[in-house]
Amino acid sequence: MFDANVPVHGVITINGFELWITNTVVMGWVISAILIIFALIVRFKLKNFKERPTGFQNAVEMMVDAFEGFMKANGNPAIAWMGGWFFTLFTFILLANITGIFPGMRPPTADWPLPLALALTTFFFIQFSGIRYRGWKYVKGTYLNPHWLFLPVNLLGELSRPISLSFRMFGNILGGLILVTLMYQLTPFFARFVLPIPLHLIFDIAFGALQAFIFTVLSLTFVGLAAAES
Amino acid sequence: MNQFMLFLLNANVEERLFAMDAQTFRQLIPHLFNFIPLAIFITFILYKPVRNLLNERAARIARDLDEAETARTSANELKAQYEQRLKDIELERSIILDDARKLATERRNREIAEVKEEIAAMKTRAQLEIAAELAYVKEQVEQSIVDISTAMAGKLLTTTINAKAHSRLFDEAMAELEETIFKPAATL
Repeated sequence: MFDANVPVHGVITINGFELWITNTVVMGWVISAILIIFALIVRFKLKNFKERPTGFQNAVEMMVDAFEGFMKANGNPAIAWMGGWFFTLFTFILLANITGIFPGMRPPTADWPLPLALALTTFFFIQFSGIRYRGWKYVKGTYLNPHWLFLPVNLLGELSRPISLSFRMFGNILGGLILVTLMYQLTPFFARFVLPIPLHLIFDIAFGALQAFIFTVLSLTFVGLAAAES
Repeated sequence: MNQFMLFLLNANVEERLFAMDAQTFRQLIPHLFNFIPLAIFITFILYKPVRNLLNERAARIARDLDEAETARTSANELKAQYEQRLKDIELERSIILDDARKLATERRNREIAEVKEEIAAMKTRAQLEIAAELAYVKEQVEQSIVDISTAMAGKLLTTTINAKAHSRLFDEAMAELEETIFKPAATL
C-alpha cells in the first residue's frame, strides 16, 4: 500500500508511440480540475465582489494582491504581464506538493517529468523574454559570449537551468516522500495515525510550500534577468 | 472520491522511482498539454480579472485620496482666508472702537465745556440778579429806615413840641394845604 514508486494506470499506444498514463499525469489533471473549478467560482462571484472585501473575496484578493507584490518585488516590471503564468505555476506546484498529506496520494512533483515540464516552460520564457526585450544582444551575450566557439558551453549552461530547477524540487519532494513512506512501513499499524504527522507537516506542507516558492522565485528571476538590459 | 482512491491504489505499479528513458521524456507531453492550457485559463479567468479589479480599486482609492487632499488644501486656504478676514475685522473693529472712543471723548468734552459755559452764564446771571436784589433790598431797607426815622422823628416831635409850636405848625400846614388845594389847575 505504501510505495514511493510511480503507479501507472494505463498505457496509450498510437501508431507504436507508447505513452503511460501515470499517477503523476492523473494527479496533474486532478489539480488542474481543482484550480479550474476554483477559477470558475471566482469568476462567477467576481460580479458580486464588494468594495470592502470579506470572507472568500478577501482570500482571493489577498492571494492575487500578495502575488502581485511578490512579482513587483522580485521580478522585472517588463514581465509583469506574465504574472498569471507565474501565479498558476506557484499554485499548481503548491497544490501538487501538499497532496502528499492525504494518505495514499503521491505528490506528482515527486516524479521528475512534471518538474521537468514546468522547468521547460520557464526555460521557454527565459529565451522568449531575452529575445523579445533584448533581441540579438541577448543571443550574443548569452550564447556567443565571449566568442562563438563557446556556444556549446553556453548552451549547456543554459540547459542546466531547467535541469537544476526540476531536480531541486524533484529531489526535495521525493526525499520527503521516501521518508514518509519509510515511516509508514516501519511503524506499527496503530502508530501510523500519529507518528507520520510531523513528517507530513514538515515535508509535505513546509517543504512543499518552500519548494513552490523557490521554483517560482527562481523562474521569475531568470526570466526577469533575461528581459533586463545587461 | 473512494472510487478515485481505489483507482489510484489498485493501479499497476511499475517499479520505477526515477528513470532517464524515452518514457520519462514522453511524459512531458501530457504534462505540458495539461499545464499550458491551465495557465492560460487561470490567467484569463482568475488572475487578470481579479488584478484588474484590484487595480481599479487602487486607482479609485488613489483618486479619492487626491480629491481629499485637494479638498483639504482648499479647506486650509479657505480657513486661512477666513482667519485673515477675522484679523482684518478685528483690526477694523479696534479702529472703529478707537474712533468711537475718540469721538465720544470729544463730544463729552465739548458738552462739558458747553455745560460749563452755560453754568458760568447762569452764575453770572444769578450774580447780576443777586446784585439787583441786593440793590433793591438796600433801597427798601434805606426807605424803611427813612420811614422809620421819619416815624420816630414824628413821634419825637409829637412828644417834644409844645402847644404853641403845635399850633404854628398846624397853621403852616393848613396854609400849605390851602395853597395846594386852591391853586389853579394850570399850576398843578
